[in-house]
Amino acid sequence: MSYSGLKDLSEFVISRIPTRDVNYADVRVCHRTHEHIVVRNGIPQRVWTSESCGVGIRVRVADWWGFSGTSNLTSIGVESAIRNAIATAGSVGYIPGAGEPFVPPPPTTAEYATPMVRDPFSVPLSEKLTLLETACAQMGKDPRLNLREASLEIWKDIIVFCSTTGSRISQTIVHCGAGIVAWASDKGIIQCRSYPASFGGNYRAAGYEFIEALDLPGNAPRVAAEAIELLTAPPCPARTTTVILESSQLALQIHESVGHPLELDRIFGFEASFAGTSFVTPDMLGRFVYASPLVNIMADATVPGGLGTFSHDDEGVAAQCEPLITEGVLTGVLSSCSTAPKVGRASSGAMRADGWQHFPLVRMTNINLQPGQSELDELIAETKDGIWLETNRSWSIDDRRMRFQFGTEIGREIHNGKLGRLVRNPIYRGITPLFWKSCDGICNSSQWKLWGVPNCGKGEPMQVARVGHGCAPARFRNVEVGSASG
Amino acid sequence: MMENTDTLNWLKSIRDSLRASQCEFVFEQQRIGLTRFASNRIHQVSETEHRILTVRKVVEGKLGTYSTTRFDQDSISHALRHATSLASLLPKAETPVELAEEGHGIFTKALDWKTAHLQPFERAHIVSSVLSRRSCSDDELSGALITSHEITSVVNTEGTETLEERSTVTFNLVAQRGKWSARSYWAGWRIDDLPLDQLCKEVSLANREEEIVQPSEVPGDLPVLLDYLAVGQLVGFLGYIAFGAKAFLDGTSFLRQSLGQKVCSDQISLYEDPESVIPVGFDYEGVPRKHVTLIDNGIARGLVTDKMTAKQLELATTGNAPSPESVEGPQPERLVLKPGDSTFPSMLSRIEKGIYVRDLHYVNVAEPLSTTITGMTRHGTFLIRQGELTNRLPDLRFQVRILDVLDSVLALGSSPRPAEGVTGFCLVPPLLCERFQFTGATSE
Repeated sequence: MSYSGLKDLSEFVISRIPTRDVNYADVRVCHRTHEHIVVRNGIPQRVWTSESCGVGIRVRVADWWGFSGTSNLTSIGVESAIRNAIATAGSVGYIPGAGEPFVPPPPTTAEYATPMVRDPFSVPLSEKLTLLETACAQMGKDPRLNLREASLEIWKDIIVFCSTTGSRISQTIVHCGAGIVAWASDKGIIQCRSYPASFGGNYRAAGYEFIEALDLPGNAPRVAAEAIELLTAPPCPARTTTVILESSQLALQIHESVGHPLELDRIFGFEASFAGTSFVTPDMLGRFVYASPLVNIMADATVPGGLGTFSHDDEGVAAQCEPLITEGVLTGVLSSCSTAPKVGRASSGAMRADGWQHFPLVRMTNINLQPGQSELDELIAETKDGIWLETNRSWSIDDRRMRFQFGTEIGREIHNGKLGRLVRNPIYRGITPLFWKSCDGICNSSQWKLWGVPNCGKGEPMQVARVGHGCAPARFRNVEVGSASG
Repeated sequence: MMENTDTLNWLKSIRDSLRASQCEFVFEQQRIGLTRFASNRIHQVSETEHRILTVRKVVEGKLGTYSTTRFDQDSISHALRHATSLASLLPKAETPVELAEEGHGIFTKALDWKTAHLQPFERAHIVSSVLSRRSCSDDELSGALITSHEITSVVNTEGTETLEERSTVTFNLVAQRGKWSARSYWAGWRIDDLPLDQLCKEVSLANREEEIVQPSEVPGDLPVLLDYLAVGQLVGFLGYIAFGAKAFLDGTSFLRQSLGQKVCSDQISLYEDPESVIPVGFDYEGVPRKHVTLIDNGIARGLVTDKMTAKQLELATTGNAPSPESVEGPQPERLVLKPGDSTFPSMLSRIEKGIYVRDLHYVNVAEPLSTTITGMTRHGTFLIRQGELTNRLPDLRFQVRILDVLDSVLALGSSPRPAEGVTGFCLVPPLLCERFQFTGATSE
């Protein structure tokens, strides 16, 4: 459907909302195009393009929210969806005491598009395949390499939002990313190495120029060599030591132990039955020491290139940069127009939905650790005994986001300020605030990098969000490390 | 929702009107009703109707795929052209793609009209009846009741014409009291089968206000009684990392070395049973789903395939082709762990000192070849003394090799229940094992 067709549809839907029954409504008409290409051992395994177009209608009847989504965009389909949305809101009132506050954002008119040089959907498939096939080939043919994979993924979301308070916001958001992984096995041991990060690579709100700049073929030989080298590396010894986290691993650490626990809907228990709750309580705001004074973390939906970058969230709230942790103290949360008033604040602009078919939830935007002062070389040189951990392999954290265990693809011991031998299957464990309080060094902006997490799951049924995390490598003291292979 | 025969006829008419060779049309139509509640109140309700058509086109053995939510003639023609151009651009296929010829028929074994058409106020009524139960009156209840009406049809140019229509229900119930929580879960296809009394009673009973014991050291060398929710996660992850053909072909599954060998206790038999929990008739290639023995009395016997991986392995497809969206390849979707002959009280009574685990949380694969997973216990971890659940323990972190746990089975319950797996549902009994490695507790 054309851009103007989407706008016309949104106007049609909002005009059909019966305002005598509904005191507020917003409509999101979304058109998503998605392309996923996977090449394994040089052979294309998956070449899939999809498009999905539909409308999500959120209505407020009394203090109750209702929602309906449909891909049936005929007038009959839309009218039916409006009736369904109102019926769902009515059903909330079936139980006494239901209802949520809501402070609607000011009416806004805006248009936004992800800045990019080269639209990834305009790049010929043959060019994309050549890139991925070359990356696979560059990983070599060592018989111990049993799987060489290169993949790329692209999304374009056109979202037209309008509300009964007069907001009209159109956004075209393009995300793309790519990565390679080599799996090696020998004598009952299996190891993998990825670039630039695991689980598909790295992603940005950008054009195809981002994928080209990753230089997958140029990094492929190193990735393959490291996977093979890991086969004969010793398991990571169990001990308590100093850990320096490479930035993609630190990004996931931020995601799991800062981003999720600071989602205000989790704090209020809305996710208790599925994703979990949070150890954070509203009374901690402004006084709880979450981390060492070196640590400053922002929820920044305005940073260029982030997967959580947009002009307005899915309630029509303008993108903002909200300080979450300031010099180690908890100062902010991720919130919406319904959750923020409960803590006496305005929405942080973090309501996001996975397409037209879902009710928006409080989600991360770009949760960024601000750079520190250290050079990476200095950070390592100052470390008498420790371990460098790089690229996530597994993650697990309890339902209150307190106690975690992460595994990485690779570890390298640090002795007397120098990187030493490689270790395989490293894991580290910690307790969220104790871990962050043990941070005593953060690299400077020259090492700061923006990472994209395209698969953040939350809600029932599961919604998948794409979020960003910027950070530079950082050092943590007294961390329990060990080996995933026991 | 389009009626099922209308859907099949519509899809056949698309195929016939396009006059294309070697192509397949997969149409998925889904209406999902959701009622979520938290802190004893409904907080999120939605009704969503989704329809998507996937065109799969084979050109010289190469496959291009395009999915769309627009169904006018121009859009469908565009989808076919796009899929054709994708396929044409691919290099020569090592294993040529073939479309299925064997699927015919309409499968409605898991369709209940009442469930398929359940309205928001009816779901609210059910949730209200849960919240008002005296057995749960001291607890904060959260959860979700999700019902759906789904039609999936596959029609291709090689003669496959299948349609499956089903209803589904899942009910997730969590009770909280202070720091403690308990959980029950049920999945099925008929709303009238939803065992509300049992589910409510379980979460209430599990929430007894026991004094918590902070273990002075990580509990080890104790037998562990895993309830059905935990067992579902355990075998779900085993199915996910080991029994899909893609993992086998990639060499990340232990089966590559162990097919036909003893891999765990002879008390363990694990199947892919498409008749279980919510029966399924056809896969996304229109192939009838088969019963597959994965582990038979401790011996690894098989894996699940789709047409492509079956051809690569020189096997017959088991009818496990995933939805076009999936990137995981064929996966078990209805895992059944054969029950034993022990009742839950009898398993409990044989434990002098041990640990009871209700559920597992945030499980992740630490090392696939050794089936090593890590995660936390959740929703009730208890010390067992003299055959009784006594004090609560904090949630415990574990790191286990799934096959080691299954090798140390002491007893299996006699009453299997539906649980969530990783790539579908499981039907599993509680399981008593000798070894389950905890590595820490959530003391704060």
